[in-house]
Amino acid sequence: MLTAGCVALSCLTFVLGYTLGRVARRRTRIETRWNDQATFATLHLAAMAAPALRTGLTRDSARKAVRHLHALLGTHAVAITSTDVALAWDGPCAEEVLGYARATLASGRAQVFAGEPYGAVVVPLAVDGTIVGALAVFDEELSAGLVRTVTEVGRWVSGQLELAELDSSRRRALEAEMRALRAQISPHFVYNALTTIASFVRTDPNRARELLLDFADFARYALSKTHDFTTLADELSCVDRYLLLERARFGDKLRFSLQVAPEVLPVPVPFLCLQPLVENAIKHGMRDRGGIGEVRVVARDAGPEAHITVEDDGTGMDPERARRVLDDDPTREGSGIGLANVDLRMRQIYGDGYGLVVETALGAGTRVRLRVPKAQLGHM
Amino acid sequence: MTVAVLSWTAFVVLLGISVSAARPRRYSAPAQLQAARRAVRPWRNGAAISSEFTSAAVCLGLAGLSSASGGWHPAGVAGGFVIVLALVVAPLRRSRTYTLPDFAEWRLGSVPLRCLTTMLSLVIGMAFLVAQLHAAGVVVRLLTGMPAWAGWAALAAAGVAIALAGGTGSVTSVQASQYWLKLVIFVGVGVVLWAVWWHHLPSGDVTAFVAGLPDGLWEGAVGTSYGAADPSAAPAHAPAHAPAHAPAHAPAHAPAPAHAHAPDLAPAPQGGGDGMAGLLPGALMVLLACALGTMGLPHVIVRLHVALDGHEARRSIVAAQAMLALFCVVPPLYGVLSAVVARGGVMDEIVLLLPARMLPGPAGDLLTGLLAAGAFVAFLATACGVLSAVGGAISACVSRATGASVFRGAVLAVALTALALTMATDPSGSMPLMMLGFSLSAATLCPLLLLGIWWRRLTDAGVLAGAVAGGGVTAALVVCEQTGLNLGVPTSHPASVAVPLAFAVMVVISLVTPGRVPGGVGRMMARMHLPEPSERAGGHRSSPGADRSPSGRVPHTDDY
Amino acid sequence: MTARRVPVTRRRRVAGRPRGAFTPEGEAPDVGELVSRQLRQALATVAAALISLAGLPAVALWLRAPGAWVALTLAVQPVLVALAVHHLKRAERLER
Repeated sequence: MLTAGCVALSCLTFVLGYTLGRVARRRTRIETRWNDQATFATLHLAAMAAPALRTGLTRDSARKAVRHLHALLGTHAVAITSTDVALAWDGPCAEEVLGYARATLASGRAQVFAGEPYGAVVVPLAVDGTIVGALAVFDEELSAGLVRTVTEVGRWVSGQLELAELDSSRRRALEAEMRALRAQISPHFVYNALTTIASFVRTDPNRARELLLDFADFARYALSKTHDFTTLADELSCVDRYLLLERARFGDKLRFSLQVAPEVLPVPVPFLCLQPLVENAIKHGMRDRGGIGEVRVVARDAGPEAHITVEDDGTGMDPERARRVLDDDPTREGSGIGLANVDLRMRQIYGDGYGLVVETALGAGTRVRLRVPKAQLGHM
Repeated sequence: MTVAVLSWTAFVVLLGISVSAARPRRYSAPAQLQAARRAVRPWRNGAAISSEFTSAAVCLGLAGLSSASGGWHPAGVAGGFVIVLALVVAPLRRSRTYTLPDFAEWRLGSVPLRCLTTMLSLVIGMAFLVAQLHAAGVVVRLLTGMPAWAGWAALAAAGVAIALAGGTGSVTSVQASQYWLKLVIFVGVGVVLWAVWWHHLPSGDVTAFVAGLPDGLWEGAVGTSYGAADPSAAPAHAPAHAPAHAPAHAPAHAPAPAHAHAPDLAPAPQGGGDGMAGLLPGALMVLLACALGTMGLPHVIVRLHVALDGHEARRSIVAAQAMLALFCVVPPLYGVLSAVVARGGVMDEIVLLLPARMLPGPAGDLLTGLLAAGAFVAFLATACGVLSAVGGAISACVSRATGASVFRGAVLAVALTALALTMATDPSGSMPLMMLGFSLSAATLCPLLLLGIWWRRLTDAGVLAGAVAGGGVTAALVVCEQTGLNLGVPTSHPASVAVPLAFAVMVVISLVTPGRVPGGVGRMMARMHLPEPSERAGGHRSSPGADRSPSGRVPHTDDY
Repeated sequence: MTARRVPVTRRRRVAGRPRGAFTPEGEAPDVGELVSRQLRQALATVAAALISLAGLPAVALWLRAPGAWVALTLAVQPVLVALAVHHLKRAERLER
């Protein structure tokens, strides 16, 4: 009992100490290593406002940024508007902000309003030459210095918003790349499957019909554009259907075995991460030996991860060649596209530690290892 | 020694049965592939959850029988399952975060919070693990006369072996089959013992027994009051226990009086009806801690992710609760009987010695062996579940930092730490340790889960402050209790102060720091609360392999 | 097997993509309505469970029948299981 108490206490103390230590360290750094207080304060406030602005101009981001901008400028009040609505303000100024901003939004030029008791400086916020909003600053006294400062701040905010735009187009580009990487049914496979089915049409029409339906099921899954992730169970059933088609071609010479811990079946996995590996194993393991051989898929439960291996007992390959295949740019056409594709996607999604490991040697078969974390944080 | 051999044999047989139920299967024929992809169904998952819970249920139930505050724990845990079902299960499963630290990081976007949650899971899991090891030590010492560490080592080794070797087979199946084995053994042996007792009892004594029964149970000093209330039972069975096991439990009984009171969960005044009003707050607090603490237990949460989706996870929890309810018959079954038959000593020790006292000879030995094996399997189930859950949480933390998989190492390290802690603690503390686990979970992880799932404005600063406050108060009160500083109900039941405090701090600090509400809360809420698209119903495949008749296929009409 | 297999991985590092890069930009579907209905349902169940739990010691106190609590803890189990089954059915109906 006492020990448990001590353990709990010591753990909590550790956390507390760690947090306090970090806070303290941050404090001392602020005070000792920077002499120029004003520069530091300005940069610090700008840095605090930047992350919010980097998410684009929304009510939420404006609300977060405007507080820091207010502190930065030290004026009576600061407000940010979009083209048609006042997004956020800090200090006593209300919706009438938009009245001041209208002229700026229309003309795209900075405007200065002298007035009682407060004057206003309004500067435009522009992304790629388009006005997206305005920054309005209110103060008792409008000096030339203040106007200049506000103009520069407005330019800085515009810069951040432009970066946000860049971020989101980069994201869209990545997404497009991901989708392109995702579904690449090999044209050879389509050709082979259809030829095999055609060969059964006369001799065994029922079989041909079954296979055609299998092909339809497979294509329906592989070409569906709805999701980036699927469950291991669905991925395995895709492999299953793929194998039915390959088996129709190779007959009993192709043996396949599957061993799965039922606990990992609901694990979310990247779409089509397994079928290319099986296809690869059949292609390199079997075809060089006239289609004789065994492919083994094992999915293990390893705590917070699922470990999947795809193994063939084929001819294997030179490790150097395997390395070249993995280093290949998967967006280029060529052999081994499946492996490099899956490898790249795994690394992009889960991090560099989650790439494929290919164990191979000449004449020793090949085994491809894949690790998938069970927790799906952030990425949908 | 016969008992030792018998119980060992029984244990090995039980383990063999349950492991063979889950041996890795390799499928190769096309028709079998469908079977290989069969996920864990709710009933089986539920059986696994309750299997990992039985040792807590039985031990706490038995401990409660002999404690003054009464055995409210099973009822509290059942209530806890209802709360988990209503508020936690489906959203947590749908969040697709595997452990609580994962959940904390995903929901609040804070890595320090992840570390704190990992540590809390570790402490709670450790409390459970140490309690299991101690219990195994007691069983081994009582039945074989071997030193307690033999039991610890055996349990830790078996737990690590199953947690690690389970990779390709199904640990769920191991646990689920163990549930049924345990139920059959505990209820079966109990019924046999009751039958024996009934058979030996002159009919007139039954009414005397029933009349005398309750007082003793309320008083807590189980053995002595029963000896007085039911004089006929004691002489009938007294000779039974003396020759057969005198050497084995002579050492066990010596420290018994100390045990009976040291782990007492409620220091409230003991006695008849007058003391009962004083017991009320204690009983309520036990119920509260169990009801709110259940949701934070690491081995329960991990099991949710074995279910296919939110619906199935819900069904698993209902199944688990139903099966656990079935198991709640066990503590009274033995508790009442041993109150009648045995005298003195700690309740869980008496239970193990009960068959030998009532049935001298090989029959008694056999029953004792079965009972011991069943108890050992129960400890093993809990230990294995906690080991893999806590080991998983730690290794997930490491892998997110380094990318390497250290699951095996983490499990081993957790087991070794638990062994070291077991050596450093006293066996009498194992029940309070489990209660401490529940209280700590109720005061830290429960508010994190409930607020994280249902409240949009929760912030990482709020959770950090709330968890530190709740955990700190719990720890401080435990220290107070250990040093003899009595502050009334809070000292014996830390949850009474810590839980409301943790909730209050979490809410207030979150409201004070509105700027720290993580981005994308709306999306997280949608992910947690919207039911998964019921893809499985239509599926990518129109029909399973079995029914592939020409007319069995319905063409898909939805576009893709 | 004539040769030992050699483990091979990609040599060049791959830049991980930015956190949350693939989460859609737009607002999530509004789940407020569903969440509040789910919450109301869940709170009703939790209230029922807590009342029956808190009622136990009170009933035991009121009964004054010594030992009644052993029976009570057993009796409350079916009640709680029934409550759970009831909630399960309602929750599944709500989500359908």
